[in-house]
Amino acid sequence: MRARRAVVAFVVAVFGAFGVAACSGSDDRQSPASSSADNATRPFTLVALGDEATSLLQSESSIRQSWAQQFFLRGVPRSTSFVNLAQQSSTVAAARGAQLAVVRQVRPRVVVVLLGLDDVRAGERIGMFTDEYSGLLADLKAAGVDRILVATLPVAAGAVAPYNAAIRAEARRAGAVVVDLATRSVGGSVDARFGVFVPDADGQRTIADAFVAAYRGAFPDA
Amino acid sequence: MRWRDAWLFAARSVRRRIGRALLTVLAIALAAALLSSLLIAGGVARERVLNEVSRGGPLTGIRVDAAAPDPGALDTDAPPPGAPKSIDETALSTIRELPRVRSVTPVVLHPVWVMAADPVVRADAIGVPASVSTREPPIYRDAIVGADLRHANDLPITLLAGRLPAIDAPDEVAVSVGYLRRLGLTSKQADAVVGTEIEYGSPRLFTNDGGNGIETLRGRWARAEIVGVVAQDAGNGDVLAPLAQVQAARDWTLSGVDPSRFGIGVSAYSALFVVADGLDSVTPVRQAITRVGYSTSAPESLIAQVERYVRVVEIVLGGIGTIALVIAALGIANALLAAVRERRREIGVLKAIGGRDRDVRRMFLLEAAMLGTLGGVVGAAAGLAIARTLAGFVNRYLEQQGYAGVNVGVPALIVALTIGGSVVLALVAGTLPAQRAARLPARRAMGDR
Repeated sequence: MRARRAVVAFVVAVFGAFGVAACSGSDDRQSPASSSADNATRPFTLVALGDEATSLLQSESSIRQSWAQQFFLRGVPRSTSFVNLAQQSSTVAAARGAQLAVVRQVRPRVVVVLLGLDDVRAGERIGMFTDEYSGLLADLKAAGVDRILVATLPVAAGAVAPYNAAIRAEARRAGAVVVDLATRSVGGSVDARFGVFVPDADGQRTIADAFVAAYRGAFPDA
Repeated sequence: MRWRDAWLFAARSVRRRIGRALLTVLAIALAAALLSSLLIAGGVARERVLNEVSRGGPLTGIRVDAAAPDPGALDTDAPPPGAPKSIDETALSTIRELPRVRSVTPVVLHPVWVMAADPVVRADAIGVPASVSTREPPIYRDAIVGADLRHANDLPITLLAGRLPAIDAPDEVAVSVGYLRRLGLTSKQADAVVGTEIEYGSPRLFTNDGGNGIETLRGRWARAEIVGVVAQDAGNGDVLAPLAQVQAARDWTLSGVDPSRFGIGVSAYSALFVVADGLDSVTPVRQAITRVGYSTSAPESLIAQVERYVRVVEIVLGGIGTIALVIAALGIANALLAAVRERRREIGVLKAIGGRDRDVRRMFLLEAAMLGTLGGVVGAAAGLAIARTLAGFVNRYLEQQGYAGVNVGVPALIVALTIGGSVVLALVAGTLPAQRAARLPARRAMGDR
């Protein structure tokens, strides 16, 4: 009887062991689903217009430092695509000729502009500068751009006050958002190669911060 | 005697000799566990090996390159492609309509700059060295691979972490192991990059930007969340994205001057992945595509060879399990013969009050079936548990080696075969004792006591 119980206990223990073994984001980001839906209805392209301060094409690693690239990364929804059209030695008049041609092809929703430093270097007359800036904004409007952000020039770039006054006036007239760099401390120096003010890494970050703040302020939906 | 009575008699007999019955069930269960675990392990190993050979794609997958076939190397698995040849929509639909073709998935390869966003790994990633998370995120020239992800199962893609991008997502990508290496990570740490971002820029050449005839390079940048990490052989690039994303990037480059400078050919698609409707169809489909005018490659010879080896291993494993089950069946026969000897008087009484031979036979066969069923069920569960435990050890090793793990589901066919086989063997083993009990004359059965 005892032996039988022992056998039963052993078998139950073995079965038991088998049984145990057997049972053993940040605010500029949108969810993929919502961003897909947005993009399906409104393709969103961002374009930057500018000069040496914006192009930064000396090396691939400098792309990341560019204020425009930083604005793309932090300021607009992830589904946005971005084209930097900035070009060295680009006055406002030159930008109207070269960069606007591409704007018409790309048909962006948002354009960010930092132009005028080469005009300051060249000593462009204010009247001419004003006309060209006014024409640039009108051309952008005509190209279907509905969100235009224009930056005033940093004071470190030289005698920028009259140019900034013209930029502010023309932006107001065209309904563009003004990003005021004149009131911010933008780090940088005059580049010996181009003879024009170029922001350093901190300066680029400061400009990007200013654009992000202005964009969010003007377009809370972003 | 009714069936119900026969069941009750059989059950009572099992209960009365519970120790012997449990030992018999244990023998069957162990044999069934051995058989089922060997079959499961064999099946999983077969699937894993063939998956590795086919690089995550279907076994009947054929790669079609944007190149003419090399007439001198048509019989090999991976012949060198001939002269470049465009794969356009016409070629795509022609190949789709070939007989024995199950599906055709186009792939687009596009040159881009890839820029890892800061931070390169998730903040909550575990086991990532500080040197990785604090280093400057890399920027490098590479290619983005665009595929119709509705047919991801038809492509040589194996998911290592996260998930594949949604079919039409404009801002989701998966990255390959090559991307992890650039960050200084191993495939074991793949999960650390899921949820981070990358930027990729497509090149485009402009002329006369400033009216001075100077060519200018512009990038069209896009941002995307890394939703998964894959091992893929669909194209030579670190980033895998939905087809629409890559086509938009490609359109940008093609709109510029001389896109061939970026290595972009005129072909709309870089390659096609064709799936034949069976292993036997791979050769005829490849021949048909060659006649259409394209170079193909498929590991068909290798797969056929591996399948033969794996089949032999499966037969050997199944044989070992079956031998164990037969030995267990002999145990049932032995136990039932002993029961017949012990229950002669009971059989005699049953016959004396009108029980027929077939009633006695049924009683013993039901007892055998009961033991077989119980042993089969317990054995199948134990076999599954053993296979899963083994898979845990194997997965740990595979992950250390940078491979995707194996997945042991619940193989219904093997479970059913194990239980069914145990019952059938038990019935066969119980036939002789049942027959002997049925033929026992009532007088002799009573008189022996």
